[in-house]
Amino acid sequence: MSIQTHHAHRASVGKYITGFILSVILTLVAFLSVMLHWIDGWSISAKVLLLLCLAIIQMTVQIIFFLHLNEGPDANWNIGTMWIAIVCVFIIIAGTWKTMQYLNYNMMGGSGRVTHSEVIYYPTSISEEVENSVPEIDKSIIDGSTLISPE
Amino acid sequence: MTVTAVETTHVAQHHCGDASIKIFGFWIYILQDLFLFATLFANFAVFSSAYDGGSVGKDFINLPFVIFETFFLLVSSISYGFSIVKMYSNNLKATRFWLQITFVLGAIFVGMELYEFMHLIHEGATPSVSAYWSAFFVLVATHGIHVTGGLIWMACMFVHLSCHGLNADNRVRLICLSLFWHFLDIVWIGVFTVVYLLGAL
Repeated sequence: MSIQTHHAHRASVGKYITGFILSVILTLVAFLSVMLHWIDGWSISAKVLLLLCLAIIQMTVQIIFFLHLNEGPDANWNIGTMWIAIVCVFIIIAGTWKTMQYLNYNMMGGSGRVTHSEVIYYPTSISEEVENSVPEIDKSIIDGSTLISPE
Repeated sequence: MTVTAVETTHVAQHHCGDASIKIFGFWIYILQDLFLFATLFANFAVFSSAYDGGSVGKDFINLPFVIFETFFLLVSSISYGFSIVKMYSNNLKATRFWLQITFVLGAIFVGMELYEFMHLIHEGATPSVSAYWSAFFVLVATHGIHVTGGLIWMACMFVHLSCHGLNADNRVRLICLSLFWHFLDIVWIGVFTVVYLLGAL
């Protein structure tokens, strides 16, 4: 019972509804701007920036309205640990991305891509060669069998 | 103040501290789970154009399908919130009702994700095709496995609730599960933005 009295102020329907409505709006803006081609005229970096900003805003909305971290006895610990985690996550993602971009830039003549579209054809051509070589193998087997059968 | 009264207050305080430490410990677990997802997101970002001649991710992205998935998970998040509100008002029946709604919506989400995977594998986009598809399947499936874990936990909660009702232990479990469930919804925002929306550009 003590938990109930202690945290009674924590959750309210209104807060969840507010968070839900904001999340729905942010989700719809993100999806519809891509699906209905609202941002087709933008540069690729502007599009990426817009979508990432919408995602970060929605994450913040859900942390505030759904997780209720800034309330209760451990509020400071919750928020403090979360900030450390966010900094680490940023280092992991941005650091990996930046390092690999730099690596690709040096390795691939500055395309910044992990694979070139020219390289892409390889596996298909190998499989075509295999397919082409199959009839020859079949012929030799047939030839062999015809040779063997009279013997 | 009688001796028993002092003892009950003591027990109550002890329980309260115990509960908040458990919830904080679970929060630490969630943050380390976040690191797992961070590494997978970094992995996906690096390999986001490494198709190696296989199927290109953009051809398989079905945004209307993903928007339905997103809304099922979002509505399940808020229905879990209602369950917690009912828990605070000591309404076992309503708590269980909203938990069931959450379970059904979560199960629909997992079902849709499995359908999507079956469809992709059927079309030839398997994890072994290229680094992109490996990263895609690892990231999205790790999230899906977490949601499945949440569903199993919820199924256990139904048993706990029917055995002991809304006692102190079950309250802590419900609060921890709510943190987990909302966390999965937050990770899904990252997944649909990075994998599906940025992939469809």
